[in-house]
Amino acid sequence: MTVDFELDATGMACPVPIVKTAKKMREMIPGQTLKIISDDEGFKADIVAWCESTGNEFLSLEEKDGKIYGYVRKAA
Amino acid sequence: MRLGFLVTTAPYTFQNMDTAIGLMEAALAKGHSCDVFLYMDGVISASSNIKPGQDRSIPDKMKQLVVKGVRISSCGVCANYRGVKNSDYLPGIKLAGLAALGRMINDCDRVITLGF
Repeated sequence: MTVDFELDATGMACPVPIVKTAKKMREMIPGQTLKIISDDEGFKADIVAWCESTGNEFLSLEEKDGKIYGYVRKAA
Repeated sequence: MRLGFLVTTAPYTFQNMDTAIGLMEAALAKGHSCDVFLYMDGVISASSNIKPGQDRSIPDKMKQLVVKGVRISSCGVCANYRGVKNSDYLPGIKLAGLAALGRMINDCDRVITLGF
């Protein structure tokens, strides 16, 4: 998977990771992907819910060493 | 119809969770669907550590609701502030955040807030 941008939201609590994701996605063009790093447990469900609400594509989630890595693609 | 319930108070101290459960059971029996978002002290309601003895078991009732297809989310930050961990939760109930609450409000036809 090609990652176009990366956003480190480590140490930030809800809703900041989602707010920062939304802000970053506004700067991107359709089709580009964003990797978000978070250690907020709620982020796992939130990123899926946010994608469903906004129409952006949720790609995947990974967990490693206490961190959550979310991948999303900006919709057209 | 899809109903959303936002519960913000602790179980047993207040009867809001009981009210939500009763309303959901009635709604499900009539073919409606339900979502729940546990917020503030409401996050305690779904802990598997609750042992009510002979009293009504709110976690057992919530477990039954999950089996019936009710989507139950709990605020992760509220849980952290109250020492409730993800591993404390009943199966099928997950930590979420304000984006999930926003989706519930957006997706549901009616949202009922049970709080102070």
